[in-house]
Amino acid sequence: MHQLDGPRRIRLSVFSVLVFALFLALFSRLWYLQVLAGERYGHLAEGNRLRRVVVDAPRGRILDRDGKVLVRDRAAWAVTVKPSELGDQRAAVLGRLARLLDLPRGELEERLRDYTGSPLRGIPVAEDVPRQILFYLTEHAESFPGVAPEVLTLREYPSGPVAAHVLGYVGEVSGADLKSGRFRGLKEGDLVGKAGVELSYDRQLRGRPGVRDLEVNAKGDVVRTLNSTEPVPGNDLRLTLDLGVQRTVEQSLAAGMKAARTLPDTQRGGTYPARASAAVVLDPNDGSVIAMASLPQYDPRKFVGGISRRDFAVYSNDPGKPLIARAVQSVYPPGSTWKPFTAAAALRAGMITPGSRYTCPGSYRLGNYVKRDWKASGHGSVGLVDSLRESCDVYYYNIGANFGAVERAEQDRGEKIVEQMQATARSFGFDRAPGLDLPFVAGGTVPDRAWRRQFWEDNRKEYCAGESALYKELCRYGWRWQGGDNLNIAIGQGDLQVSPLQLASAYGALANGGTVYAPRVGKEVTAPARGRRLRTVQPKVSSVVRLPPGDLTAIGDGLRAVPSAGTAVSAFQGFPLDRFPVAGKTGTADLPPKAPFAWFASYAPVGNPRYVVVVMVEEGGHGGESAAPVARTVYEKLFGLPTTGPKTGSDRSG
Amino acid sequence: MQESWGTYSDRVSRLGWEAASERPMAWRAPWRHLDPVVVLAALGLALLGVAAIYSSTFASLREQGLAEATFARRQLISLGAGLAGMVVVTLIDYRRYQAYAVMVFGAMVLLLGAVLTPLGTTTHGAQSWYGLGPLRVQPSEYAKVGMIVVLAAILDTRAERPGPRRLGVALGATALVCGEILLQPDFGTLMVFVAVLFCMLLVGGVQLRWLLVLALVGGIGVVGMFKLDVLKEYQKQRLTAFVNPSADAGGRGYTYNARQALIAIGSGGVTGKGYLKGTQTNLQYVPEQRTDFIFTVVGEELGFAGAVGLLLAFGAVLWRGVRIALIARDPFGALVAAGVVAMFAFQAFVNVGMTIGIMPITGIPLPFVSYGGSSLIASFLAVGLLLNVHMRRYLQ
Repeated sequence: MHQLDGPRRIRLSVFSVLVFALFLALFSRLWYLQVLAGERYGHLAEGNRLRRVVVDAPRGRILDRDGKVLVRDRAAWAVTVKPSELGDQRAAVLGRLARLLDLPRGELEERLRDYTGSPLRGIPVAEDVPRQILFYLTEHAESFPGVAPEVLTLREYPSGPVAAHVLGYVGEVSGADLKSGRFRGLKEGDLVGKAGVELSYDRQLRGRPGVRDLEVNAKGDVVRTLNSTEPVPGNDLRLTLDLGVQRTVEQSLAAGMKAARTLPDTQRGGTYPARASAAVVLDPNDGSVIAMASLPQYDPRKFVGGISRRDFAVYSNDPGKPLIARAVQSVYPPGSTWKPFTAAAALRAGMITPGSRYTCPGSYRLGNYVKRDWKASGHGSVGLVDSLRESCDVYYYNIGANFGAVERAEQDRGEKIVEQMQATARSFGFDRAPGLDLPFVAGGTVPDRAWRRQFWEDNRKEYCAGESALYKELCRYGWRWQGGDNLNIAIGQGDLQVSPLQLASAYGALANGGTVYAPRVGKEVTAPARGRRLRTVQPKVSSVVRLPPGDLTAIGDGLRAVPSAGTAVSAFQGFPLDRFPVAGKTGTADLPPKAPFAWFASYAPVGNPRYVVVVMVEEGGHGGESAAPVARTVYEKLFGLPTTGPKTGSDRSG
Repeated sequence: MQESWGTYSDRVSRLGWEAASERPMAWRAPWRHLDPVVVLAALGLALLGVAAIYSSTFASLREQGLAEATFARRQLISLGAGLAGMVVVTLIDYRRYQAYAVMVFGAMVLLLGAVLTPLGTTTHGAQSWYGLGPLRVQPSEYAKVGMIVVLAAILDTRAERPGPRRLGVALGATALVCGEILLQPDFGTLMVFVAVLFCMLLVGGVQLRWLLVLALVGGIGVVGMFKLDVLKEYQKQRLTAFVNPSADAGGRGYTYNARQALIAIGSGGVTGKGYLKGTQTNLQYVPEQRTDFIFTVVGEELGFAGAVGLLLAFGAVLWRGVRIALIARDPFGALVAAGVVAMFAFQAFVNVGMTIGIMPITGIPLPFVSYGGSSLIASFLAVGLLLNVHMRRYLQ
């Protein structure tokens, strides 16, 4: 009879203390997990249990004025890859996937590399994947980690790549956009309009995604739906564009540029480059845009599902700048298409009457300057109508010089200088961005004294740092308004800059008796299902030009003579002007050292004008030979005449 | 007897003996000295286990169209068998077990050997059990208890410490059994054997420097097992995943288990989500939950309060076990009690530890609580041993 002896009792005690310590470790760990970090693990458990499935709302369609579908959504089964989930099996998985999809491995890698969208989303590597391949992927999910079939809603262009700049494109919302508060309630990776009406009508088109909160078990089976909201599809947008006319405009512009490239450039040698062009067709009675094109344009289909880095680089580096909507975003000197507005200013000021005549020699002298007319032999004695018909520069130099004299007199008397040419131009909508329902609209410049001084102040540093005599002159006197400035403005040259759309809307005012409408491309917003009209875009008057009707008629008479007997006569040869009288003006804007920019601005039919057509070909030569023929083709389409296809005119007027 | 009272444990046992010497023989009758605390604590743990097993399994059973209480009922039946086994173990004077130790050992070696033949069946890559009709017997669970008796018998000596011969026999016997278990292979159970051996050598009085050498050899052995491909790939991965969780890319493997267990327990918070209301449990996010990860049910549904309650119940069993070892009438009884305490303590610590991320994942069940008849019954047999030693501490 003996119990455990002393030393062994001590060991047993040591052992008990050890066990106690181990249990204390368990206890403190549990304290940490459940009491201190319990909330965090609670969130993790919720994250396990809950799956929030976002059901994308279909984006609204974009239709032309007759309801022809230009853009719509379609659902496509795609295969997406999340590179972060590939891990160290990347090569093996991508190899397997490439074999399955029958794609070269390199293309797969390129699509992953090229992707520019949100890192949260899987990167689509193949769209419209056959059903059996999707089934295979689902059944063999364990050999394709990070790869998943996914339904993507993709923009689709049933009418082909037409009117790209008006339609714009859709892309993932950028971080900067989210911060700016422009896209409230969106999150990274959501799709929004990035340009065109996709952007300006984004809120109407977008719709609201649905959300389903699901409870899922460990296998990923859905146990029950906790709550759900259905997606609200976006509304449809009907445009004022006419698909047929738009097509014609784009085709004629392209043909016109091609034709211009065959014309000899007598001043610089070779032929005209004619790399880009723009055209606007609008209704002068309400400002609705019937067609608007800028070439070169991009293919909106390349933006579907996220544009690749490579394609984007191609567009960005293209010297033709296809991403720019020239019709609204670019500004140019309008050349002689400006003359009606100079005439309007002179008529309004009482400086001339429709009957006033100036002798029109081949040049005009102002102080030490000699300004040449485009026609060296001159036009003889001309009145207002002939000055427009023949595009006599000297007639307008006289007007510009007269305004200059009036302004100098005001200055000498110490009165406020009223710059009447500029004021009239502004009343026609120039020098401010037209209230168009498209993003990124340029306002152009109508230079005046204040502008000159501001410009000088902005650039003085550069001028004064320069060494050349010109820079030294500019450094000291660059703020001065000079007599030559008035002459330049009078013939639409110098620092004067307008966009094709501005010119079209101002010609609309010439056509309709003086009302400048804010141009618009949106017609109405309709509910997606039954087409119920939700909102009609109302015509908006932007300004009204106060001019006696007789004066406008006189200008109109001059413009009407241009296609029949003036600088556009060869372009309109054979066009039934008797049935569809066209009033227009050619323009040839000089931007040395570039080749001249060709313009034709017009409206028709005279008397009951329904269309304004403005055409501009960059470095396309003379307005009569490169721009007017394009306008003619457009009119043939608008009036339902047999199309002759744009040839080049032979008029080489200013 | 000296006036110095020595340690607390000395006092407890002396008091008992002094009291006993003045009592009549009838007072010494074993049935008068049952330890209700250890029985109640063990029973409480087992019932908590049945409840947790029900919670863990009812949803998936319902999904499969089976009776929701299938597993809970089986466990309850095993509990009945365990209690019966405990009573049987208690009835026979434990000193007779010392005499039968050789036979016990023989039976263990035989059964553990036979399970490796086609007589045995395989689950989870280990050939570890016999299928007898609807019964499943896992001999290694019973062998744990048997080994405690065998080692106690070997190490029981009147000398102050066992000599090298006894030590050698103890090591040899354990090595033989461990070898058989390694062939299944069942790494977790092997660890239990090693831990029990070590504790019993410690309490048995083996010289400290030998223990140190053994610990060293054991350490080298673990490293060796890594190097020599004795471990299966999944076992190595589990251990490396424990040391370096980020190496387990994708979270689908072993850290998935560990992570889901952590989430279940952590999300239980202070008071738990309520019985049968654990989301991790109901939606089956924790793999192997009813067996090795049963603690996660308690942690999630009953929270910190429930988890600590469970630890306290284990604490009660262990405290009583240590006390029984101290007041045992002979070293054999003390060693048996110490062995049982070592087994429960090690298994509880490793099992709970792995669910809360402080131990690697090994297939060691939580005594009394985890689903599994053999484990439950063997645990109650071990309780029976404790009771036995306690009851007979006054017998001549």
